[in-house]
Amino acid sequence: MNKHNGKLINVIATGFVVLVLFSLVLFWGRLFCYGRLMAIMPWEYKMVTISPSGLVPGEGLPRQQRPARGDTEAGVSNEPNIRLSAVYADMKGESAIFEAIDIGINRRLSEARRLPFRAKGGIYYWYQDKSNYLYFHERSGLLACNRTRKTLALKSVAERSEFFAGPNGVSETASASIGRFEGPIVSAGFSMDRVELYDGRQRRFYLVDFANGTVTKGLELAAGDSREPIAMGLITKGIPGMGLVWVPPGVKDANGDWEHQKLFLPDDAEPNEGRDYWVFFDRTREHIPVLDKSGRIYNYDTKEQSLVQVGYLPMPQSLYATHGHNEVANPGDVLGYNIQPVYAVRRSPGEGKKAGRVIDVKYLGMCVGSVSREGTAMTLTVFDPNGKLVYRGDTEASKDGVSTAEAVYSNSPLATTILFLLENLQPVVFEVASYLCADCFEAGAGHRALFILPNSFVGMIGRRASEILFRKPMQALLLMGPSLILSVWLGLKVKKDAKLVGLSNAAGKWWTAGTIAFGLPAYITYRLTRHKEVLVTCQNCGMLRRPDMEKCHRCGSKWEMPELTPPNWRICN
Amino acid sequence: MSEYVIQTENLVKYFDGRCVLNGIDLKVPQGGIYGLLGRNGAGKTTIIRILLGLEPATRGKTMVLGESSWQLPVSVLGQIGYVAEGHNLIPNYNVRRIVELYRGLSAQWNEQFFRRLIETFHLPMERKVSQLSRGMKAQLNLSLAMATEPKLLILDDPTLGLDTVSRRQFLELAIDVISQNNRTILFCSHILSDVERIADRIGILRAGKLVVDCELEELKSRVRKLRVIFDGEPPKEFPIAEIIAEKRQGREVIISVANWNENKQKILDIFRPASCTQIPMPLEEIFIECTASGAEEMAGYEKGELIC
Amino acid sequence: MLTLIMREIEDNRVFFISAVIFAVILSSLVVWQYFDEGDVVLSLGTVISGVWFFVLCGMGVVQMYWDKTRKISALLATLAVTRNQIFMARIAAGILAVLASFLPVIITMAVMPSVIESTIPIRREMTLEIWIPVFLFCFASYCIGLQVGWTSNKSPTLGALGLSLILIPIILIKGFGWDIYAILISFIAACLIRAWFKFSRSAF
Repeated sequence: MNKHNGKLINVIATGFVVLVLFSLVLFWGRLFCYGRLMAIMPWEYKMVTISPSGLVPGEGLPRQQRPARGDTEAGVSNEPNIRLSAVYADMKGESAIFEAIDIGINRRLSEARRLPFRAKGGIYYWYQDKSNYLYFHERSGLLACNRTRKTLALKSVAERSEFFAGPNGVSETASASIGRFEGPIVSAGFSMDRVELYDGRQRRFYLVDFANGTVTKGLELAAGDSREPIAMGLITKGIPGMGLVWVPPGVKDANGDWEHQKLFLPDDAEPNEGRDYWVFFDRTREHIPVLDKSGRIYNYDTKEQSLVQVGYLPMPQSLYATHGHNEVANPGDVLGYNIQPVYAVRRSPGEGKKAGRVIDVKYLGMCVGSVSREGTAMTLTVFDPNGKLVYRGDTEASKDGVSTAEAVYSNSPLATTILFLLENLQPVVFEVASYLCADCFEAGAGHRALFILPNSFVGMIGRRASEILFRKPMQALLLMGPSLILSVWLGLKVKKDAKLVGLSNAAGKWWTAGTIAFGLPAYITYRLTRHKEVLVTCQNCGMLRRPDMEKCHRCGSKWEMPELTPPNWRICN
Repeated sequence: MSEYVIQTENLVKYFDGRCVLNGIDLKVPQGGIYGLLGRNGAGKTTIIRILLGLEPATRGKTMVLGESSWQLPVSVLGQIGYVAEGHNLIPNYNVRRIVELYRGLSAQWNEQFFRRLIETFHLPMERKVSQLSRGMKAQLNLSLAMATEPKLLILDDPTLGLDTVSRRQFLELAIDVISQNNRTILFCSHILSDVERIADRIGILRAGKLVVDCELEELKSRVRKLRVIFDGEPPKEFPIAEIIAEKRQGREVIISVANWNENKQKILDIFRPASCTQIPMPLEEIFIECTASGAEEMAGYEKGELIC
Repeated sequence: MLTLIMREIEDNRVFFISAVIFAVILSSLVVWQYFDEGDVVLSLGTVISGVWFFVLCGMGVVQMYWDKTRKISALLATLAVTRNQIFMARIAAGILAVLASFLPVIITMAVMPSVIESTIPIRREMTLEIWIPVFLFCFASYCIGLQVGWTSNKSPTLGALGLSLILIPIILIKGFGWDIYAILISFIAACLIRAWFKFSRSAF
């Protein structure tokens, strides 16, 4: 390796080390500021309530007394003994912070014990009972159900059984004859015996029944169908994300306790009989919510084999953009979401506390909430059974309708300013990349970013839609101002020093350009790798010159005058 | 391979902006003992460290056994033995461990010869290096360097701390080494009598330059110290080139001149001294004359081109 | 080369003995985890690994600092060895120390499922996923120590520990996966290049 290549490699290596360590320091600084902003967020910023929910026609009241739509006062009706249905959503303000530090080591270790989320590699658990579990056996491409039954009498004796399911059936061994799934999406969290799944490669839904040893093929999506399911069943995202609760209408009994009010649906109500209770998911498993990669939500009807759109993920507000009611968010665009379909279930009369068998299930509609990328705003929507938007509520900082996305930053000007300055210590190239690529990163990943910051102020500008051509870039430049000033100043310093230490013109230009592009990390790298020989005064021009160069890099003179005064005689042979 | 085991070309070395070596052109021929002399801080150890690749040169070229000294390959390093000034062996190791280390890392190792040396010097194998006396360290260092059967042996003040007997033993050993297979020794020492005893060629460093680089006998013949007595007042200046030193006391002038020749004798004769006697100079005297400060101000008329 | 590596091991035997002790403690914790799946074992393991991480950083510092102050490389470089060989032997000793501390633990984790039936297959599969970044992480810390230790100042350790402390959070942020492998491997390569560059061009 020649000298120049070796130096270049050393510069690159040093630069990388400096960049990583520098970025880590900045990361924790930003996280601290962000945590401060989240911590002082008032609780009212984090909640949205919609009442009545709009999913219960009539709500048991006479028609003329039904509250108007848009009334978001919490579940109070005109009558004191009646409680209207309501949807409550609350955003965990620490979501962003947890996304940053929890997804790494903690989540990975948590996946070993917390359920029933899908872990990396497609391994599932069945609640807290670790002796029975469901997982995707990647090597064979089969869904595996592993059971351990302990006898009642001898609890130490365990009978283990394992079954594998493929598109063509169920087997006791991982056999190729039953086909292969490719990264299935499983409707987990219901039951181990009956599992619905969607296979992306075959674009088909399946119902796997381990109890009966059958696999039933469901709806197949055509090759040209743009729908791409990414989750089904209990669909939530975020740690801890957001909470979403649908409260049914209630009536006070003689003791003053609230009881669920029975629902009389005009289309099929029978005298003296009503639907017993409301559920968030369909225990009969006839209806399964499915989330598509475009953010649209479908209802998969297993009986009718249909996939009908019933809603979408709403795009929450952000600091620099106001999103319209109909704007659909991609699942990767939001930090958290929660999808709660609401069904009314009619059962036959039960005995005592036991519920009777299910007679009928009716889909009433869907509540969907999503948290913005930055974790500063939340949107709650309600969709009717036809998928039409009924209500939309956004977190608001005041009654004037100021979005929490704006108000959060003004709550602590100091933390916001420090956050802004820390973002501006990032290299200019990374800031530009953040502006250009802000949309490319998943929301949670943005909080874990070290180099490119999609959730920074510049990133938010980058995501903003603007009709005026130069408005966005100008605003971005303004936000990058401190970073640009610092980079240019450091670049000029490096240029001056490079001349002083005798770097060639080309090397000087590269260093200057590199410092302007990469800012403080580049400057630190320059200082660490620059030539360290002490300079001596040139006898010719009087300026400082490098002793390891044959000629003075300023005047070009050779070493003519010796620094020492040896005698003028020599005795040599 | 070149006839020179060591070659430097315009070797320059700066330390923190201070020039120590100012263009050294050193050529050490194969076979024989080269004595490199100089006052404290003249740069002898610096040259040696540069030759061994322990220190990078600021400018210039240095070659050892035909290879660039900054990146000496293993094959060349295995042919060099080195006894450092101060005998910097690893202090917390015991002698046995140091020996094992040397044995494991040397290209060749003469166990028999080493045993002989250890017995001669009575070195305790289990004692820690830090607990050895200075003389013992020197003996150990020497034994280790010699046992590797080097083609080039570099000795930087190796007899420092040795008693007279040990020094004599060492010198005889050095001569013994040289007589085998045309080996070379580069020898730095402040004990000039030792150097005079064994060296074939002499190099003297002064003010960053190699002012002397020739065979010992030739040096003695080319440097002339004369006591010149005049009847009257001696001349204010002698128009003789390359006067190394001049001392006046009344009618007596003692001058040391480099590269004495007939011309210079004729110039001196013009002044008709009453007497002119040569003072014999051992190497020590020559060294003192050549390295005493202030002598560079006594340059003669013939300035400019140096005569070598 | 073997002589050089053995020399490094002997000179730094304190660290190697500590590595063995660490391996024994961590292996015991792994075995305990199979019987008691509480959080205590995991927390204890994390704390002990964190301490060991700093110890390895110290090993890198000590190797280089002692070399500089005791002029060990100055002696070795005059023998039939090159600077590259001295440096590689040093790195080899560091790798061996890290391996000595983690290899027994990895083996225990790999063997345990066949000895004690685990109800959770993820443990077996997570073994490499967890330990590869931890290994890389500790080696990165060692490399920081190597870089910082090559100075004759009396307190290089603090500087190295400070830099290592900055590096720790990267595993909290990125967790386990190919991105952390890429970052750590690149970081290690960069540190080694820089340490080698300094070592090979400085005066002994």
